[in-house]
Amino acid sequence: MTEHEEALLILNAWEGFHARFLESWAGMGLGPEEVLSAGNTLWEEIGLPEKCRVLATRLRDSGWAGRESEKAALLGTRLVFWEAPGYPGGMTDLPKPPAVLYARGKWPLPERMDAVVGTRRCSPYGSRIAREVASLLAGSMVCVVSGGALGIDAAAHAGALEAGGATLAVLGTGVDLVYPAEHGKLFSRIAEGGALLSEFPLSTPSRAWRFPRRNRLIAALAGRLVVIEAPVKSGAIVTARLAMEIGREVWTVPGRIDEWGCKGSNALLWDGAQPLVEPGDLVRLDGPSQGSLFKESDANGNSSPVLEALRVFGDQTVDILASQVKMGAADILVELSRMEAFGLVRRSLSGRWSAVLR
Amino acid sequence: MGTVIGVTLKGIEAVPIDIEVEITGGLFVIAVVGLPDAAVKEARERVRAALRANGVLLRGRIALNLAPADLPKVGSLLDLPMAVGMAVESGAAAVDAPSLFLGELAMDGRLRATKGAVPAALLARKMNVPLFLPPENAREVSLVKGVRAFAVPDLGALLAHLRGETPLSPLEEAGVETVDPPAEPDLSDIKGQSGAKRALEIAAAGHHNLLLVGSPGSGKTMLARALRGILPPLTDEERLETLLVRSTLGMRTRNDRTRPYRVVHHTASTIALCGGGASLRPGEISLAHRGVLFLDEFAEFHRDLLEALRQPLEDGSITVSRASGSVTYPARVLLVCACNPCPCGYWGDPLEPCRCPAHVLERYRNRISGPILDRIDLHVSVPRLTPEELVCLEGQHGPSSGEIRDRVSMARQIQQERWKKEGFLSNAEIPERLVRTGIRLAGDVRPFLAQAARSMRLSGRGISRVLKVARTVADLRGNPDVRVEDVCEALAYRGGALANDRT
Repeated sequence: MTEHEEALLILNAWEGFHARFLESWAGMGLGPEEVLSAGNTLWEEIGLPEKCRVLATRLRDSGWAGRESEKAALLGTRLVFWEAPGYPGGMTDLPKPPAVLYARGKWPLPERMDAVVGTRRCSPYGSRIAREVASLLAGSMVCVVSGGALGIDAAAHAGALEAGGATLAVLGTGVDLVYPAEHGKLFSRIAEGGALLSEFPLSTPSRAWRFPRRNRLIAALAGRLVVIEAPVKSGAIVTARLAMEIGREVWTVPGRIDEWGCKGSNALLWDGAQPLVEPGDLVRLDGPSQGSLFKESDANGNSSPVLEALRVFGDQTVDILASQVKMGAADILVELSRMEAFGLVRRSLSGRWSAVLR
Repeated sequence: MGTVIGVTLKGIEAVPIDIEVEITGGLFVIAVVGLPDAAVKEARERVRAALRANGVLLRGRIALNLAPADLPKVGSLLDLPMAVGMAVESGAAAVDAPSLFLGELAMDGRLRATKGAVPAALLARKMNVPLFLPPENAREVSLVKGVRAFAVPDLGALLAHLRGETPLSPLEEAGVETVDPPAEPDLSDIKGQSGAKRALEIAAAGHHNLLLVGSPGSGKTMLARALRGILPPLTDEERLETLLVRSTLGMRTRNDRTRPYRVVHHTASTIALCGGGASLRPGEISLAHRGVLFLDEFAEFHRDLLEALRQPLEDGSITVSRASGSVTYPARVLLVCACNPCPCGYWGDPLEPCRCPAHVLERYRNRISGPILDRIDLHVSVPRLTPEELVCLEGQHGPSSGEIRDRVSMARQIQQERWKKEGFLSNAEIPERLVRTGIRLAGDVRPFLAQAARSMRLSGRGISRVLKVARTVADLRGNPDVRVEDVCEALAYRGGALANDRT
């Protein structure tokens, strides 16, 4: 490890640090190694805050950088430095790009990356769509980026892995930690079929403020961002806003207007997000298919009044179906289960059923 | 065995106790040997006073042996045989043939009710001896067929009977009244929820365990209460089994075929639920034998309490073992559990948003779904309806509880007929082996089941659960073989009711 890299690693340990500092120092003719080895006087001159100065002195004098890079090597983690080969180009669009990235797993990953994000408390519908969208993207050789959280994120990673594609989880902790704890298995699968990425030093624990910071990396890495189910106040909306600010394409899956978990993602439509009405549009080269209404045909010839009612009225309970198609509850349940076995209908939330559009 | 026989209880079993009395000269004293407990020892005073009140004066040294000597004797039900033994020894009466006596004495010689009259009656029937018992216990004993029993108002009357002066007349066997169980609420009064109502019908018909999941106010508890009104009547054999448990605790018995329905609060202790304590008394699960055990707010129950339910749910009986011995009680219950879909209760609710963080949902789901859910055949979502949907259902009435009960009873009879040889009374009881061999499937069921197992990711246990339920559905429809439509309906009660449920 060069002196330059060592200095970057140490400076990056202070969470306020970003690559724009380096650019302004370069203007003064200073490299990070020179800054680090200089004393307090210079630091005060260039306006490094107290916290950073104390931390940098301690880490520099205790030989922390050497140990950190050894630890990273043992974990199979690559350190990716600002302006070095392997540093993702998209990051430069950020106002405060990270100076060092820790990449655990395969690196570099395919150039084309799309992000799939959404709430942790998703509906079964949301998690299914996330999975399907991610498999579709992975199938067309796009690397799927997400945040490694519960809910939509987990479904997106799993979908990409199932399709045999690459996926990247951008974490708000050190790459050697597993948060949330139940994702141990998922993370090791991601490290095999893709990578875990973080700008935080190893063993950095999870804190609430680190996740919005992490979200800017997702926005920067992705060429396109797909938001699936996000309430108004959520990380996914933060990511979408950042992505729009740096000129990324944002897509959103329109949800039911009375559902709490869809309010934010629906609101994005006003802000210029593309509605994702047909998942295939994401991988179609000639742009979104429009005017495709009224062409849907029932290929299976598997038409029943129950299915028709579900298609027309959406989510329904057995009671409502029974009163609409004038059948007994037992017969309705028979029909629903039969169609479920053939993948024509699905259970949605608590006792409701919905048709699967194909 | 001598002629004067008493009983002591060991669980739901009555054990005969031989009463031997010897009276010799000397200072007046009554000595009782043969491991009497405090209640039996104190019987000396009650017995002496009662005999004296009826003109039998005791003199000298009286030794009383309760055989077998190494078995602990419990409770006051030995008062009467002790008194009769002393009366016989002092020449005030004679007992020619072996007879069973049961009852607690008042000081003036009246008889008070005791526990264990039904086990004693069964013993008397087995030993083919007459039974003398307190009048308050006459009602329950009259429900047992083939017992020669006499209700004894007081000691004087018994002695007169034994001397042949004024013979008592034997109890008449009471016919069982066919009283319809209370249908409160009646199923036709509950608006909507036709899916859940159908699940109740299947649960009642096949004695399948049932899980109801729904938001607060969706009507879970009401539905569970309505189950009471559609349970099939007890058979003679089943009635006797339930009578036995109740009699062991000295509880009042009803003269009809209504199934037990026990509601357990989540603060209940393991002993209250499963039985135990110093006297090895039966718990709620045994009191609910052949009937319903209802656990409302299932998620609030302690984990170890639910774990304790696993084995009895599997075996249909529970063995209570303590330092003082071990007793096996019957515990074939229809378990009904009700819980919210998530901690705040509004997961998936159309009106109210759920406010639970993701990890809380995960923890909740892990807490509930444990091995106990595997033993529940029917999982049902009880959706809360929006006001618009309620209006849409206005004026529609489903079948009444009475109609459903008739269908359920019919289906239960078919099951009892089918499993008679194996000794089972309902589809839910049959073991894995019989599921594979005893359930006849129509020709096209196997390929369909294979398809469903693939697309719904059913496990082996899942498939046999579905088959058992499908058998009950077929019985309700009157199909001799299980058809595809029956399997389809059974699949609808498979799972997916809880928040984040991945099944």
